[in-house]
Amino acid sequence: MPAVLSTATTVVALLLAAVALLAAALNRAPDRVQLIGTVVVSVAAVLLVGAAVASWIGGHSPRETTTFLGYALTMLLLPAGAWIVGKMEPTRFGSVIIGVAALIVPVLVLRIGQVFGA
Amino acid sequence: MPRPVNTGLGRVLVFVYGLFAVAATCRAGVQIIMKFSEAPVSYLLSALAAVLYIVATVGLVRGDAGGRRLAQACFTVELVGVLAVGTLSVLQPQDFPDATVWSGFGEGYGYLPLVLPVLGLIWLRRPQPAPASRPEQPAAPEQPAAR
Repeated sequence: MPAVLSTATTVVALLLAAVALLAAALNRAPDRVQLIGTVVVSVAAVLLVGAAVASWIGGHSPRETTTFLGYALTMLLLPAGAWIVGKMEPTRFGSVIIGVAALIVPVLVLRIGQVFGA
Repeated sequence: MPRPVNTGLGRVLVFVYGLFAVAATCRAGVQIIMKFSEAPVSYLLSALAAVLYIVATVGLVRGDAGGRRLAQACFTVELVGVLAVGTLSVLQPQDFPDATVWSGFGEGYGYLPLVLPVLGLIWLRRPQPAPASRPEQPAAPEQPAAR
């Protein structure tokens, strides 16, 4: 699993978290900037999971298959799910939801790396 | 009209509790299916925490009087559980060969298992039936309350 993808996913997720939590502090609901950030994080997550699955097919299997699948699925669904729930809450707390979800993505990246034994 | 318990900060709680419900259920499920005999007490505690997170999420989403009572009961049990298991896991680590969600006061989960029930109990203590009273929590005052 390429380290550059893990780093890139972590960086864009932290950026989105900063933008969303700043918006929450400024009493703003989720906006277009957060939508773009969510899309970028989602694309990074898909690439990361895709690369992990590709190296799995290539013979480098994860140490715990079930755990890896759980984390991979969570990572793929989390940004979009947070956006949907965040839009249901058109107040500053919608931005909090997107910010919290974005903070969880780096943890998932870390755990996927550990499970994979990168 | 009282502001519903499942909007505003409540919706953040629903989201985070939902995540914890999924995460704890999956983790406990994997542990119990794959290696139950290694640390049965730890894994059963994880499963109990998972159930509590699920029920608390359902209670918060429902948001009516029954749902609030349900969530309140779950938050209370969680708080007692995280404090008891956290203390025990520090004093007698040999009783917990593998970590639970509540070990070390939830340190494996950024102490959220300790913070969440406290936050939830505070959130549910808002004055529910009094429409005129201004709750002290900093929810955006300009926003329409019905959203």
